[in-house]
Amino acid sequence: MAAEIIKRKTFLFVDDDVGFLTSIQGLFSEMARGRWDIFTAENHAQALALLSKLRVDVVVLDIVMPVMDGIQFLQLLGRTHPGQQVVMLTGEATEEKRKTCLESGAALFLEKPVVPDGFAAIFAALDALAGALPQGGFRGMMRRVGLQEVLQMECLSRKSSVLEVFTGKVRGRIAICDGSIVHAESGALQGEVALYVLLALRGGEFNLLPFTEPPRRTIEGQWESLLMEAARLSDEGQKFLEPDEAGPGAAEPGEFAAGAALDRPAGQVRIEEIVLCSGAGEVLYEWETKSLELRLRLLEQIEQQATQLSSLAPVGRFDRLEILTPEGRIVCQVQPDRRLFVRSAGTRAAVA
Amino acid sequence: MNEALQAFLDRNLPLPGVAACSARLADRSFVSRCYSDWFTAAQVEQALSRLALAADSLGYHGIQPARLCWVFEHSRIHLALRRDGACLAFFVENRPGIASARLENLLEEFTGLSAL
Repeated sequence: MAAEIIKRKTFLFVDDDVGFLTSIQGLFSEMARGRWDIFTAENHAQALALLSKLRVDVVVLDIVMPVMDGIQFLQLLGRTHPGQQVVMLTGEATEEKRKTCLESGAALFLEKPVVPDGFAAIFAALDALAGALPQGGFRGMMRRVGLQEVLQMECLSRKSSVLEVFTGKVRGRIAICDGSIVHAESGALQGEVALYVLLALRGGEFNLLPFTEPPRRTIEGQWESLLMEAARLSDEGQKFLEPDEAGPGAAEPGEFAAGAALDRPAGQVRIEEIVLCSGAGEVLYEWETKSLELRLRLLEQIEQQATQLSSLAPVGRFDRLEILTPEGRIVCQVQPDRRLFVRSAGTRAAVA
Repeated sequence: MNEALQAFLDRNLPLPGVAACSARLADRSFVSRCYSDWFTAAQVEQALSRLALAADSLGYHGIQPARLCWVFEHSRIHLALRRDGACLAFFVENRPGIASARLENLLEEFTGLSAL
């Protein structure tokens, strides 16, 4: 008969309360009956030193700790030890902390027990988590990878997933079903506009989640065309908008102007007005527009003038008109599926 | 032909990627040069008239343009407007590697030329 091999589960408890660490080590060792290896650390430095030498199934973090609190350490572990299961265990649970921890990648958010039975519940949860089979697929970090590449990978492999995107100010989701982009949302925006806004972000974070059917499908068409269009709009947008150096916290287009833009030094621009319409003229997004009717009429007029020019000379399909004024720049783009008006002020004078 | 404009064009053109240029003087006369068979002088002059009208019509929308760039699939048409009513258009191939900065400088220089 083959000997039964039981894999021992390994835990690292990180807490600045040495008394708690001692108690929990004793109690859980007893409850585990030799099936657990328990390590302890009093701060993040000790924990990192341990994690550099050994691999544990679960790290259990207290939240309130000096120098680097548990939430910060959780986020640090997300970068230094991607895929590491982390459980938050705190005596000061709030809904806000719970949300932050779970969004930062914690597997569980547990409250420190105040009654003896509570420790049994914690033990059971940790035991189950450490024994759970990992989810299919890889979990890891991809540095300097754009959303476009992630979407490409999902679409090329005909997968179904939801790409959750977030920066400090912008949050959105892109749904992919059987390799097609079927929905995007970002704040009040939905559909292609939301997709383009999200893909124009220059920094941030994302989670690739299992597919769930969106409330409604707002995007049709080939993913290749959508991504190419997003890339083109993004290029033009960056050239035109010159937003702040983005990282986590990059803003959506309207916000470029709303914040500290007025305080920018000479040589930079701020967006003052945006109108985005569908090809049929339906207004999809407008920002700081004094007269929407006038702007719509302008876009219509430009389309007519461009058509006349196209008939006069072999210039091809019209894309956009860029206007330099004493105050700044204006871009009017007229495409079969959309019309865009963006007005900016600033001293970057060149009409490229 | 206006001497200042003549000298300006002689000094600066042709340029790589510039298929044609056309200037409309303050007296409404045209000076056009074509450097490829893409455009004829008649075409660029007609186009420039339309462009100038289109630029004027922007005033109705509260826009006072100094320079414009119409971007088409195959061509970019750069237009500079002067206060005396003269204007200059470059008809440029829409492809990478065109010296846009050089064109911008020329348009800037055009607006600063003495009376045309």
